[in-house]
This record gives sequence, C-alpha cells and structure tokens, in this order.
Amino acid sequence: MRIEQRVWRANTGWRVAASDGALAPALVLFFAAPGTLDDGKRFTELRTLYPGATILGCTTGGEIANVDVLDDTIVATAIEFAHTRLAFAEATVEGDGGSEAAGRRLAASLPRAGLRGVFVLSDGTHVNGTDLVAGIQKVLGPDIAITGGLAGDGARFVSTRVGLNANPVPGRLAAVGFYGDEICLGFGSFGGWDTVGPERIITRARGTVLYELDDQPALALYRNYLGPEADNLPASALLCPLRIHPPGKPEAALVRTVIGIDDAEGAMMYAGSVPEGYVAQLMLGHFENLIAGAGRAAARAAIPDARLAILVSCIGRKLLLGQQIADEVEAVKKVLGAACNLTGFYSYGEIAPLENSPFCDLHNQTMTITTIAEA
Amino acid sequence: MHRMLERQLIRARADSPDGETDLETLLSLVDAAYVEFDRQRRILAHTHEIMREEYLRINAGLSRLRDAITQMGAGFAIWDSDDQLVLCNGLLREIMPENAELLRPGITFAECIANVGSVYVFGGDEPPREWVAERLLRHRNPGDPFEIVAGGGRHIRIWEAKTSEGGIVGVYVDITEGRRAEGELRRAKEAAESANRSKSLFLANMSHELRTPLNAIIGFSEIIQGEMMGPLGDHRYLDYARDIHNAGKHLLEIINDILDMSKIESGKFKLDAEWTDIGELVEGVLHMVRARAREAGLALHAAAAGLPSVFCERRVLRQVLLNLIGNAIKFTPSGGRIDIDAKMTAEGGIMVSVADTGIGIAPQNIPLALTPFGQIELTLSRAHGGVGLGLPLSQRLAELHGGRLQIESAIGRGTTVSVTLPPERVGQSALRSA
Repeated sequence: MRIEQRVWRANTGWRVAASDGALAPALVLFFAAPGTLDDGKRFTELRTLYPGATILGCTTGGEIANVDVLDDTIVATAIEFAHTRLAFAEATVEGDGGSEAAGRRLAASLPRAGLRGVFVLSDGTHVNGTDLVAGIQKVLGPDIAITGGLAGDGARFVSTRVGLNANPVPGRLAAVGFYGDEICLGFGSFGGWDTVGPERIITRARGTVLYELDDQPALALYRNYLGPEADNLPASALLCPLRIHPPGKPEAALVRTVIGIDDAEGAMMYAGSVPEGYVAQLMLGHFENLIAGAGRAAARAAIPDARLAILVSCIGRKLLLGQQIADEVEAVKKVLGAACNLTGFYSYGEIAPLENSPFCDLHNQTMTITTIAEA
Repeated sequence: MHRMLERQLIRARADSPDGETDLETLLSLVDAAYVEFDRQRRILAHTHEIMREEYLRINAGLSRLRDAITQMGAGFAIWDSDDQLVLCNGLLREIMPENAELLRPGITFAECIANVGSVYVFGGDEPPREWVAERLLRHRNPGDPFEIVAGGGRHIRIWEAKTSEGGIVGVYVDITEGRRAEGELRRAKEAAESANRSKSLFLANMSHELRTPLNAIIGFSEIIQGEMMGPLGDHRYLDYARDIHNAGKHLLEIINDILDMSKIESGKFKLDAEWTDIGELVEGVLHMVRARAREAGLALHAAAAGLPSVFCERRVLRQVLLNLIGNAIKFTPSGGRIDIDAKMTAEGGIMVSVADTGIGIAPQNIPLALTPFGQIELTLSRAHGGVGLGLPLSQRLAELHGGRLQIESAIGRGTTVSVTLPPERVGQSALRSA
C-alpha cells in the first residue's frame, strides 16, 4: 500500500505534501472547501494527475492533511493497494424520507463476495443520516463495518456536495467497498463532550425535527444555553450538542447535532432522528476533554501497520476550538504513529459502528476514524 | 514558541508560492486567534453562568422533593442497587424509634432488617434465619403491599418497589391505630348481631307466651258470642263478647307478624312452597275482605284468572295479599275503589298488584313505610291503627320468594303496591302439581 497526498491552495495550486514515490493509485479521496470546486477545474486537474484512479470526494467544514487542519484548500490522497480490490457505488437522495431507500440502493450496487468494509460520503444537508445508515445496513447486514461522514459547507449549512468520478453535486451519496483478505480496517469514534444540566424528555418531535423538551420550546432552551452565541444560530448550536437515549437505556446514548433552526416553530433540525419520549441532555465542550476524546477515538481505531487514517470530525468541535482544533489531530497522530498518514474533513455527521454493538449509526460531534492497512 | 504560533508560521509558509513566510497570512491567522480567544472567553463565562443556573434549578427541585419526603405521612426510604440506604425520612425513624440511630445512609437493608427483627418482632432475641431470609427475598422481589406485626402488637404496612437503577423505594406506614379501630368495629358489630339475635329470640318466646292466653280469650269469647251455654240476656253482653273476639284476633295477627318478622331477621324463616293457583288464592282472599270493604264503603274489583300456577308458600302469599288489601281498605276513604290485578310480566314472572284511590304516600316517605314500625313515625297509626309491620313484612316475604315489592304512590292519588314473583317460580300451564 502506497500513498501520495497533495494539497491545493489558491496561492500555490497543487503541491505534494507527502509521497511514497511514483504510484498507480486505484483510489483518490479528496476533501474540498466549499467554493473551491465551483468552476470544475480542480476536478479536471485531479483526473489529469491520476488518470487511472477512481476519484471520490466531498465538500467540507475544514480539511485535514496529516497534522494540519486547513481552510479554503483541497486535500487529495491517492492510494495504491498491493492486493485489495475495490468497488464503488453512488445514489441520489430523492425527496423527504428518501434517505433509507437511497442507502439501500447504494448498498445494493456493491458486490457482497469478499466485502470487508464500506466508506460512505453523503450529502449533509438533505439527508437523514440515521435512516441512510439503517438503509445501508439493511442490505449489508451487521457484519460489514460502515464508516464515513456527511459532507460539510463550512459553517453555513446551505449546500453540501459529493462526487464519484465527477465534480461533486448536492443530494448525492457515494461509497467505496474494500475487498479481499489482505485489507485490514479499524475504526473508532469518540466525542468527549460533557453533559450539563438536568435530563429532559423529548415531548414533541417529528423525524429529525425537535420541537419541545419538557414541554418547553427547544429553541428557547438553546438560546439560553448559547447566550451571546445565539446570534450565530444555527451554526452556534453546534456548541451545544444534544445527547439522547431511550428511556432507561443510557448505554444506548447518541449525540445529535443541529443543522438548522425554525424560528417560527421554535424548532431545531438535526442531522439524525430525535425520537419523542427519549431522554435528552444538553452538552458543552471542554477543550481538554474534546482533545483527549480524539485521542481515545484513535486508540480504538489503532491497528498494526496502519498506513492511512481517514478522520471524519465534527464541524462543531472546530467551531469551538478554532485554530486549536489542530490539537485534536495531533492527539490522533500521536496515537497512530508517524507511519500513518492522516487525511479527512470536518463534517455534518459521522458514520461508524456503535460501541459494543454490531450496528452502525450516525454520530455527531465526534472524532470518527477509519484506519487502513494491508497485510 | 507556542505550538499555535508554530502552526501559524507553517501555514504562512505553505500559503506562499515561493516558500517564504507570507506575512499577510501570518497576521490574519494571529488576529483570528485573538478574536477566537475573546469569543471562547465569552463562551466559557456564559457556560459558567448556565451551569450555575442549572445547579440552582436542580437544587430547588431537590429541596422540594426532600421537603415532600420529610412532610409525607408515611415512613419513606430509598435503597440503592447495593441495597444500601440512600435516604429515609424522620417518620420512618419515628415508626421504629429503637432503630432511629441505625437508619443512617450507607447501612445495608440486611443489617437493618436483622436489627429490626430483633428489636421489634422477637423481643431482643436474634430473629430466626428463615424470617430474615423471607423478609430479604420479599424486599428484593417486591410485589403487593404486606404487613409485619411488630412487638407490642404494632402493625407496619410495607410497600416496596424497584427503582430503575435497580434499587428499592419503600413506604412504611404504622397502621396500628387503624387495626385497633377495625378490631373495635368488628367487636361492636358482633355485639350488635348478638343483641339482635337475643331480641329475636325474646320476641319469639314472648309471642309464644302471648299467644297461649290469647287463644283462650279468642276461643271463649267466640263461645260466649255463640251463646253456646245459653242466652246472655242483655244484648250488650253480646256486643262486648264480639269486641273481645275481634280485638283478640287483631292482637293475634300483630303477634304473628312480629313472630314472622323476627324469624326472617334471625334467618330462621323456612318457606314451605307448593304449586298454587293464583286465581284461586285471590278469590279466597276476596272472600275474606269483601265484607270489610263493603262496610268501609269501597268498591272491590279483581282480575286474576287464567294464569299459570306459582311455586310459593300459599299461607305466606295469602298473608301478603291480606296485608296489602287491608292497608288499601284502611287508607281509602269511603266511596273509593280497590283493584286487585294479577298478570304475567314481560320477563315471565307474575305480578300481583293492589291499587287503591286512597290518601297515598309522599315519595320521600316510601322508604320509611318499608321500615319495620315505620308507620309509627309517619304518625299514621294513631289515626288508622296498626303497628306498621304489614308492608315491611310483605316485602321480606316477597324477597324470600326471590321476588320484590314495589310501591307507586302520590299524595291524594292513591297507592299501587305490586308484588312480583320471578319467572323461575312460574309454572308452564295453568296448574301443575309440585
């Protein structure tokens, strides 16, 4: 397995950031700041740079190139596998409630024989991530690990794009499947946010829209928690993730992140489902705990001789930590070691298996890592 | 150099086409960092404020709950998943004053129950192992409320349930007072029942004792009336003898009613039922009352033919009809009318009703009229005679047959009293043998 990583900047164009020498990559993963893809030239350049590769990528809320967290760049990582075979799939999300069906269509186009794991990129503003993952897993079953993330749009939450062998477009899902006995995949996901305040009950919600907590408008509660940051809603709601769990089952807790607000209804829109009757608790970030959380995710994802780690971290973490966000990437690097190259992006939702469970789910506000090695 | 400044320098170099440090990029990164710090400081300050608000809110809720637990009218305890006492209220300590010192957070239920068993139930001795085991089992698998009887005859009612964390919440109520009141009530009830039985026995005996001399009075007055030993001479002797005879018979009826009533109340009245033709029975009763009705100036009409036979005690049913018609005659002014009507009900029973055009009963007085001796309270007896046993006795007799007695009446409009016998007492055809 050999890798080459390039970073595109407006001032400098494409520059090689890391290289194992001349290679014939089967896969190029790229993560692009919103706006950088608009004229379609960067994709054409990538195609020219790696003519034989399948090119998979999306827009982001920030790009990761080894230990750097970048803005306004494109990070492309070309991967040459010695033995591993790949298969690719894409699908379009059609209308409300189409996320699960799209997930099923996506998974159905991946051959099952020898499939070891799937990395998925999805539109991040028009998709119910929970339904999407459920749809994929319905087809693939619980034995195949599914990781990935929802594309980002900086902190704007307007338009997110995904592309497979084409310049990325909104409403699209795309995936790469890894095949064969030589591929070795690891994954880990961890948040590090702290719950604060009392547990509240979700008293009114529909799908991914939350109206009331303890019979009080959810938006009012967020405004109170956000204080001076309330003016920057919905982006600033990322500073207050919502931890939810079924009543009496705190071990099945998930963290949900806001992707939009409805001022008229006093409602909050999330990247995943917020079921009525669930117990909810607001969370706040503590710098040291978030950075340590990234390290814990890396410890879970660590596998021997990992050459590449794809980091999908939440935009909310970056929003809070600012330029100090690079600390969490350094924490990951420290665990995975110098030989493991890092790439990835800041996302609107992370996909990874649940801890101690065969099932995958959408995560929010976490650092989620997929590590790759070839035997 | 601070790690952040190192990174900013790296980025400023990476952003420049010639690999030199791009000062503009560096300054904008440093400036952005200062802005971020200010913002993070505001967020942290606000976070602190929110945490304080939430703390105050949660603490207020906790105080309210603690106060409610203190004030509630029962002993209260929460045990955690390790079965250690989390908290209990003062009332629990009051219920078990000898264990008050023991009931401190952290004590296990097992330790507690061994002590409670010793102090309360077994007078200072160590409680039997089975007793402790049974109590522990019940505590860990809580179900319906139960009671333990403590020393000094104290009763403690215990309600326990599992909490979601796997602990136990318990409510403990001293119901000794309630139990004592229940006992007193039960004893009072037994005494009252015993007194009632004595009364019935007394009445039965008295009735018997009264009837014996009464038979002599009735029998000899009849002989005198009949001048069986020769003429009496002055006709006033004859009138007096008739008065003695009538008064004696009236007295006998009252005594018989009292005797029947006391038999019914003491549960000793046994029905001696046989298949009876209602038409014949009504005819017989009419024969007995026709003269009295005529004397009272009342028209008497009956319709009771062609009905199936009824399985009843003939004497009793006759007595009921005589009572009802007697009342009708008594309470209907001269010139009135009495109708006796027997017919099948929709359910297949038989209803015999006696309707008069008399003075009537106010609806609110109907229950009183059905109470033994109630007529006395209605102050009717002074004007009309009688002790007020007729209606209640008739009702009890109808009920003994599985039937019922109903009164419809209005002041000045007359009264209709109906006795209904249930379908199971009604035969298939006009008459059948038992």
